[in-house]
Amino acid sequence: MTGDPRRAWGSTLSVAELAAIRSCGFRPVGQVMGSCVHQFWPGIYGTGMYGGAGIMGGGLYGGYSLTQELPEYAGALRRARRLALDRMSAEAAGAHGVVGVRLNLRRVDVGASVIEFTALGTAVQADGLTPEPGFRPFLSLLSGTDFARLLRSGYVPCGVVMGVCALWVASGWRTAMQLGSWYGQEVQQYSEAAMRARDLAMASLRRDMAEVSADGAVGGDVTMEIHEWEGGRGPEHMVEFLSLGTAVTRFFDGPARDDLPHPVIRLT
Amino acid sequence: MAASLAAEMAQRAVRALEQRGPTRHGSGFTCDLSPAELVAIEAAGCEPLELVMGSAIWHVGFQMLPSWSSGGEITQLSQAMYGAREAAMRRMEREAASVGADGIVGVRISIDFHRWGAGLAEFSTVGTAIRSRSRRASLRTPRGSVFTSDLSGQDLWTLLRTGYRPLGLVMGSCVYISSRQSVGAWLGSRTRNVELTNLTEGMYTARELAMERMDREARSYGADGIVGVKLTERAHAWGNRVIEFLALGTAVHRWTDQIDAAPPSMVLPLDR
Repeated sequence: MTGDPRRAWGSTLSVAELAAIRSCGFRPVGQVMGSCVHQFWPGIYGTGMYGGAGIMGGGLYGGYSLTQELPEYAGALRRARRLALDRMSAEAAGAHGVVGVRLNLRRVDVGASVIEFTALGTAVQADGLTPEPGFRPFLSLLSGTDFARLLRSGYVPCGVVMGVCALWVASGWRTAMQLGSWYGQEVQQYSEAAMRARDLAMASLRRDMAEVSADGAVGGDVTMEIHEWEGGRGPEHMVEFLSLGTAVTRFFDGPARDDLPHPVIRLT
Repeated sequence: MAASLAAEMAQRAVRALEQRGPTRHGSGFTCDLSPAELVAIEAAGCEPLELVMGSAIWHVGFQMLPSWSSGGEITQLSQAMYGAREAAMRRMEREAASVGADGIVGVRISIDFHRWGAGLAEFSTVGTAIRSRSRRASLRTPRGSVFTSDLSGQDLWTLLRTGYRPLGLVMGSCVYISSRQSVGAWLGSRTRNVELTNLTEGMYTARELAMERMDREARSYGADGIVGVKLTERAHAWGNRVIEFLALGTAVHRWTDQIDAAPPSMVLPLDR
């Protein structure tokens, strides 16, 4: 994509987004897309990740007495995301960046653990500047208007970052006793697992941030899913923690005094 | 912004991307703020530090219910609901204090009664830890602890300029089982248009209890007031006779009489 002036550009931008981007000296050059369908092979954990009918539900996990990570699952998510974004970046070659990226995770077939990542966004270029060869376009999950807000306050997006962790949760005899108790109480083993999954996911988000030399990450969308199934010795759990955000880099020290926001009362 | 100024901004941004060097692993901030909130927080003289979270998974016990006909509070559930939220909040606050934050904005508290299985409730809190850029203008509470609030970045900016500071997210909970009517009363009233006074009274009391507990917590912070109180009623997983009334708001205190604000100007948005 070179932003051929004879060709009309396509974009998912609204009119307000277009105006916002133009006000910061960027213009759209075209719509770009990337996708990847990836299978997750869980190794010895089993194939019935969600149903509880496969090896995992049937007792092969039994050796685990400790809460631990399932690196294959997190790895599949990371790899699929990376491939989808790389393909979108390749389509945007010749542009400076891609804004309004919509990154969708879809579980194509739950039983066989197939996931699809799709990324769709609008490539943009800075006025009066052509990217140097080898320049990696920046990617941003933010809308065009949010992009303009960031730029005016001194930040430029530099990439999409993801933190992910899948954790198998061990249940010991103490947890079993707590679950059977008549008294209300905290189940520490589960609380600790949730907190640990979060810590590990945020650490992987930080690694992604360091990779793109980020000064920060905004709009971190945090989701935690718990998959529960009936195991040989009672309920089994897997905690999946996913957080997605846009990494940003500072390029000037905040807006001038007269560019600070001022309060308004909306008349609608 | 004039066209040449706009182009200059874009060019500066792109050059910064081309020239930036590696950053140290672990440096930089993480947050779930929107860009608009980020702008507001920076305009308020603060910076985001880290997305902080707390979780508590609770086994909700069993209690002998109040007598079948009278209804009333189920104290054990009230205490469990309060204690679990409190535990998740304290963990989040500890995390914020460990990164040197002044406070946490945009706190969201969520409860899930299903995903860990029957009888288990998950309480989680998430928010963005922030710090004042100037050490002299720390936003910590008068006692030196981290403040918590469910205010957005814009709300924080506005609150500070109005002369108030957030102290803490305060809450009160009351789990209540409504009474059943006696058979005689039911037979007497079911074909008439009447107020069900015992139900009215029960609901009324439960709401009062939740708000009173929230007020008590705010007073213990030394607050002048509470903003943004939300009163929610939910029948979590206990059938429709058992309802939790939850009052939640941000306790604030006045720290200056100066209102540092140009009066808001009015705008007429042209979009729908």
